Amino acid sequence: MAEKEARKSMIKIKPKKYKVGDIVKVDFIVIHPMETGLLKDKKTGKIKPAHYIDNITFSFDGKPFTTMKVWETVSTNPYFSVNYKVTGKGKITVDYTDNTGEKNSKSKKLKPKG
Amino acid sequence: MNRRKFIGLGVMAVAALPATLSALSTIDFRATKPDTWTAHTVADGIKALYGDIKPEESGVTVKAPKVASNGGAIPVTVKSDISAKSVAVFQDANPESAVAVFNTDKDSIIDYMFKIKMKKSGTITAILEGQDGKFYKGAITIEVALGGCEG
Repeated sequence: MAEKEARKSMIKIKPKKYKVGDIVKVDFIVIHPMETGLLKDKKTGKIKPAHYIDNITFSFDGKPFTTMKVWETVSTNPYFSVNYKVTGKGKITVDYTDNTGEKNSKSKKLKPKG
Repeated sequence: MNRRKFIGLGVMAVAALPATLSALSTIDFRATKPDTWTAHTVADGIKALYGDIKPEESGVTVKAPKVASNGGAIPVTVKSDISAKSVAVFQDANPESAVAVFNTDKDSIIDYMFKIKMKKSGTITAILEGQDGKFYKGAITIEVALGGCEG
């Protein structure tokens, strides 16, 4: 497994067109194994070490609006959907860390029309 | 509702918007409540996180498919109209019960959707800690056709 490479992740804003004051869905998907630390590797017979995302912060222009602590029960390649009321132009950033200390972030611009 | 009233409401809503985005209190539950993480039953998890509480059995909606074909990714939706301090989600099928804890503030919209894995059929429980200090609870029992922890 190539653990060190930057994770693939994606943020989607739904619906595509929105105005100030609308409530939008912020979908966040990341490619991550989310190992529980309880399973055996079928080839080697050794227990795979736990490796899962434990902290996620959704913020708008540096101000967090939802933070979550996550445990290994969350599925492989986690998907989170959070609702947010648009207050203006800015950037939505999702920062996430996992239990091995890996830190990543992904951001997307918010461009309300009208 | 007549047209004039309707326009008035709209103006009020827009005016109320920018004022409210207070700082979010970020509590590191992993550091402050380490027992939550290692709790093996739902009751222990709730006790470790919030202490001895008697939540009201209403106010929180947990949605999930009644029969999940794949236990590896069960979509779970947690919804509520109550303004909350934090929302915690637990399940009783896996060795460790805690799923996720959301920190929110009074302006946050409690409508979260995420995917979890479950080893076998069980109950998903959501506990909401309101701004008023009360606790609310929602739960759903689902069947899992194929366990999700076998890889």
